[in-house]
Amino acid sequence: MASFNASIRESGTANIIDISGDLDAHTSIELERVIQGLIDKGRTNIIVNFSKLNYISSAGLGVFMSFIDEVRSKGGDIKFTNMPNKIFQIFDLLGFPLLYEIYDDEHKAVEKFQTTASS
Amino acid sequence: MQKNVRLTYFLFLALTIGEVLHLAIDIGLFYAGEARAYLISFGILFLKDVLACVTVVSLYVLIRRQIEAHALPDTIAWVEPEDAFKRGAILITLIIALLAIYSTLFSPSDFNPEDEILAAAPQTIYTVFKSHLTVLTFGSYLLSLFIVAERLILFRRLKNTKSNFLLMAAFLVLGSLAMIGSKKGDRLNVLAIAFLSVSGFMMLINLFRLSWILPIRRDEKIRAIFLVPLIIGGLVIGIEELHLDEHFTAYSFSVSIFLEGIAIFGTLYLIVTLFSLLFYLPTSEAFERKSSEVKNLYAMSKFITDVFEEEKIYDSLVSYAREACGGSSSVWFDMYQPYSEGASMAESAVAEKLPNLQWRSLNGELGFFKTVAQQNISLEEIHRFSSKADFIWKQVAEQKSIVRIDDVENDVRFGAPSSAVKQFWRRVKSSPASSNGIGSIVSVPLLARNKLIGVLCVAKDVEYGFVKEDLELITTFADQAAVAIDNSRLIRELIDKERLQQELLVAQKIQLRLLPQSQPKLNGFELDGVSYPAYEVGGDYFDYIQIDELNRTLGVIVADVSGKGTSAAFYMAELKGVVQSLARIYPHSPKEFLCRTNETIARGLEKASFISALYGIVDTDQNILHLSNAGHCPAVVVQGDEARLIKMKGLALGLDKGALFSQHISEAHIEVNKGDVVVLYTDGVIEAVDKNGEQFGYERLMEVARHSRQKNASEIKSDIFNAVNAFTNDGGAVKDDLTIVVLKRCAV
Repeated sequence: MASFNASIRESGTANIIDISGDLDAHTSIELERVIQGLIDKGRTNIIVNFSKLNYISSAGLGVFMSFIDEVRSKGGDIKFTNMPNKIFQIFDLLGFPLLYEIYDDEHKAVEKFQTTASS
Repeated sequence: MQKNVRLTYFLFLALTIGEVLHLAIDIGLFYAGEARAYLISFGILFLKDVLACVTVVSLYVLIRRQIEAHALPDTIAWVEPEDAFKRGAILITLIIALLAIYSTLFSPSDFNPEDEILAAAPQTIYTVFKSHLTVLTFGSYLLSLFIVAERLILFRRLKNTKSNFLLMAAFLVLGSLAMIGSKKGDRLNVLAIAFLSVSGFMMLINLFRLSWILPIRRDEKIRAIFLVPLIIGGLVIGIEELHLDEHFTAYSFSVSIFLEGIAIFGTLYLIVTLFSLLFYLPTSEAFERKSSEVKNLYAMSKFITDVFEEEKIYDSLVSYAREACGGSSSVWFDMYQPYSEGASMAESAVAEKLPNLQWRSLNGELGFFKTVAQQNISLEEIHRFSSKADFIWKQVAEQKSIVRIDDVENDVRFGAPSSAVKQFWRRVKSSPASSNGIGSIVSVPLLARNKLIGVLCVAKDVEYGFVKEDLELITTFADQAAVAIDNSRLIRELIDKERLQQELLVAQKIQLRLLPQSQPKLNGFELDGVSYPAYEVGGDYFDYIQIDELNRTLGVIVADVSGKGTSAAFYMAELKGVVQSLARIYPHSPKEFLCRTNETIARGLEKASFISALYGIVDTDQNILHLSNAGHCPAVVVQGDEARLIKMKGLALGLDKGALFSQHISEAHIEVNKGDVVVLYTDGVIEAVDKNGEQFGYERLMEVARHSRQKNASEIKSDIFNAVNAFTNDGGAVKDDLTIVVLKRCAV
């Protein structure tokens, strides 16, 4: 069984989810639970750090799709950072960069949330 | 059968002839009067003894055959000991009574001790008849006693048991035969003394063969204790009071030795039996208990193998436990269900009012117990008790340990006072029925693979009603039942799974029908495709759409629904419907087609799902492939000996409902020369990994396509598929559904 782990950090107004391992149909349920937990607490500024992710399946991508509307309607966003090239190619292929903000560096995403909040 | 009957007749005839002749001689001798002294010679006595032997042997065989014919099946004892004692007691009473009545009616009928010639001569003719009657009744009784004793001694025989008994009998017979031809008052000869001594010694050994006593029931033993003295008494009265032994002697000295021998043996054996019965009586209950435990355990272990209905197991468990702990105990079984499995029920307020439901909060998690089988106690009573004693269920569920309360009334966990004096006072005041009549209770958890299945509760109306053995037995039952219940659940799961598997196979068949069944006809081109789902059904889709009737224009689509398995398969089927209808409406522009498809399909997709698709229209008039890509893997085009990827921008279907999608989708127009190859595929190909986790990737795919470009479309398709398989062999895996479609323009 593929291993997967998701942990939450806070940085300023943003909540950073570090994900590692394989994100597939089985493990995506765990990520769903983590994101749902954040939304339930009203923490909708979400950054997903992909630096340690090894594999993502289409079901894994679906997790973000299923939350993005809700998060944005509540004034938040889901931003992606630190994607390994292999993972980025998959996102790129499907056209995700058109729908999500993707940054090389976590700090840029955190800053982005800060500026949005202050403006 | 015929032979048996004939033998019986023959024996009967022998018995009658022997007896009649013998009687005739005796009558003759009696009336001979004074002449007797001259008539009594060795010859006459010898003849008398031989006739007596014939009679006794015939009697013995007849009785033995009779007993054997009525023997109980399945036991070598032939008789039920208690039953034999009962008949024996009745019979001997009748015989003694008969002989006593005879003596009274026809007195004097005894022997004259002063008679010098015969030591004791019959006083009257009645004496002669009485002697014969005695042998035929009392003698027969002794013979049957001997046969029954033999069968009992041989019960659960050891190696030497049979030979010991036969030796005893044989020496007794030899001792008797040694005295053939002698008369009353003669001294035993040396031979007879030797034989009889050996026989007596063997008797001592045989006396203590009593292994039949142990298995008989306690109440049978008690009855036997009253019956055996009756028989002993009958025998003693017969010989000591009625002097029946003298009649034996008058009948035949030789036979009398044998009959008296077995009379002595029989009496002694009965005395030993009586004492053994008395000694075994106290332990008899324990023995019976043990044997019923073994019986119950056997039954339990049996129902594990042949009962697959859970409810039956509950019922059996409860009744076995009750049987083991005594009929007066109350037994019930509460099934445990964790919160997650019965969430809706657990929160229902209505359910809480039902008497058979006991709600418990465990470690913050809700779980509940439900009484599914009970005996000797009503659901209301259980509910009333459990509302006071909820800590029992809590403890069982949390610690998975046995809870035992010896004195419900005075247990501190029930809020009883802890001081002994107060307890005593409380007991004096309270009526025994105040705790639903439950004095002590044992609750045993049923565990299977460390998961709680339920609780078996056994309650008794007395305090301190359970001993260690009870607990052990209940625990054993609980463990056995837990295994049985677990098995039955596993089997049910397996059956469900099997059914699901069957349905999936049906779905797989249907899905295979949704994919093209044959290669399409297209002028100057050849096509072939294949799709393998990762599970039974998958989300990959490829199709050919005949756009005109002349095989000049063909639509080709390869798509991948996100996710795998059943949900993906449903969307794939939906997609096929949309594609088939829209492709002919937009015959020229793949971009237009994908935009409309997106609009149509996005509405029906759930948020988390999307579909990547690559759609091409092959125009054979101009030999151009119009290609448009909605977030799908780029097509591989091999032209000359060069392979390249056709990378295009585009969103996957379903990610955006309109504007964004149509803004970003693009179109490519690829000129297809003779011998050119185009490969469309899904990410299952690219993402297949080898044992080191490395992906198959685009480079390898392009290399295989380039290498095989000279071959026809089917062969190229197979080459790619085989290459992926070889790559993933030995530890790797194709993680996703995998689809390959190859389009080739014929070289000639």
